Amino acid sequence: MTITSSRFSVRFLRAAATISLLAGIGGMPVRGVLAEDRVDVDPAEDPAQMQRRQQIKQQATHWEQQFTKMLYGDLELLRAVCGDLPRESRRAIATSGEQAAREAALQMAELQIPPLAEPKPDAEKSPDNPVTIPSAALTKSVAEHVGSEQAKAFAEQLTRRDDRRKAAIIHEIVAVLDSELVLTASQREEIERSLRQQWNDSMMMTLQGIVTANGIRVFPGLPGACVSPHLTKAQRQRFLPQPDANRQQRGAWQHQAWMQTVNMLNNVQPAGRDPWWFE
Amino acid sequence: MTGRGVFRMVAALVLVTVPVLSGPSLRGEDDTVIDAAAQRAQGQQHQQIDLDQQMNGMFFPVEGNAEKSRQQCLDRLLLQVSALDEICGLKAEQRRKCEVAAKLDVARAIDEIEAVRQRYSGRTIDLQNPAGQAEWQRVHQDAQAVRAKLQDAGGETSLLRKVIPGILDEEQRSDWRRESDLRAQYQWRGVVDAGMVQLDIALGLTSEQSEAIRGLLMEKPLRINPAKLWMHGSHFPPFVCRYGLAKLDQAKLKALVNERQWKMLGQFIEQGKGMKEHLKQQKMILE
Repeated sequence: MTITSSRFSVRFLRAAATISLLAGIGGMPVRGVLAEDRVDVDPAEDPAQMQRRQQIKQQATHWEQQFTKMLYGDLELLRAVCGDLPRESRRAIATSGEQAAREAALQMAELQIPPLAEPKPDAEKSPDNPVTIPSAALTKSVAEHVGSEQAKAFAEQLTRRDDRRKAAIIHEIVAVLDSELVLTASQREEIERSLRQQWNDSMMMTLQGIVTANGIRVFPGLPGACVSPHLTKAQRQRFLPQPDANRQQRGAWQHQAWMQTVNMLNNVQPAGRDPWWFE
Repeated sequence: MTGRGVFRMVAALVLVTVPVLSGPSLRGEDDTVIDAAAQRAQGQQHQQIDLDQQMNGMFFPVEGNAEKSRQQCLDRLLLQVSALDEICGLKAEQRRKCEVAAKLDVARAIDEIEAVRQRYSGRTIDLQNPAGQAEWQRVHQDAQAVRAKLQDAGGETSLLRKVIPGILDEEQRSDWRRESDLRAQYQWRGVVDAGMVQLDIALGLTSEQSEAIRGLLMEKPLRINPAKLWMHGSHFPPFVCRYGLAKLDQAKLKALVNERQWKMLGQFIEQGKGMKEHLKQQKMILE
């Protein structure tokens, strides 16, 4: 006779017991508690809440690495815009940037691991985009330590970069549609215009992997109203927009789109701290 | 302790220890008891794969149905014909020739798939022996190739592509070429955009630097297969862009960035070179 289980509860207990036993007798290596993993323990706190805080802290470590890569790029841009800067100003600006990268990382991790309780209906304000936190902090710091003219010039470069990014994503989305639907030049133009007018970060989800329904590609996050009116009847038969999403789903897409933005340099080694900023 | 008492204690100990020592240590309420012999037989049955039952699901993307998959492939090719009609205003006879070519392309793909199907038809694979496992792997590889045949129908080497220039008159051909060039340019721009978004951020490029690098990339487009390239979303286009950077005049490129940026850019270029073979193998770049 043998036993199979449709749930994991019993196996989990067995595994947990084995692991704790092995760890106790030194038969299995145990990961040491790192300083950054440590969470202040409040005896009155709900264990589930404490676990969430722990998870957020761990995830934030990943996000901090990604935000730091972006920060080094921003500092390079800032150096190009402002030229030479007094040593004290440089250090103050870079330090504020690093602090902002840590804050952004924490906020991103909080978005990734949502609160245990359902949000109240009256508390549906969209969270701020953590991606913008470091560059906003740098701009503010430049204004404080260097001058408003330089801060304005830096902010303008950031705005232009953001415009390029948005235009690029729209272009990529239409390129994907074109590869599926064989659009004409005028259709591509019309769809681009429509997407620009109704731009939303969650549209970026269209560029995530491939989702198909019966061999036909589905376009998550892409409003059908931006595309369908510009298609021929034959093309419409091959275009499956994601069915209308509710507020929660749209919010989740938006968060994923932000994470995707920060993760895009995932396979790139960081440039390293430029000593010019910290000497 | 009386003899009866000792007997009771021993009996109780046996009752407690025997299940622990001989059987599973814990058993959940949801556990299902299965006879081991029946399970072995079922396991052996699972190790035998009837290929006739498996092949449709593996070969045909639409519900594992040959006819529906054929029709979907044809619909995709007919979209190309419709686009051509939209641009050139085809006469009925021209349109009919294009449709025939599209149908023949799909029929050829289906014939090739059928040949693979016939090769495996009526066979059962035994996964318990190494020869069976190796054969199962071959079936999977063939299934991938078979699916690619449907995806590639109407592509570069298709009859449809060959027929089009021959049936158009001079004016139509010129319109079609212009539209094809615009499409190729648009698609390449999508690749450049996908790569430059990353460079902008990682290198901290100014708008002027960014536009200058874009300009260089747009001047030297690679030949790409958009259907293959965008199949996985925006994962591969940045790598194609990085490979595009590797093909540029490096001195010109270096002149556009500072030393620190060049060091970082080198990392992107090396990744592009490293991906070249894979991109070619997957027919995402055509060279």
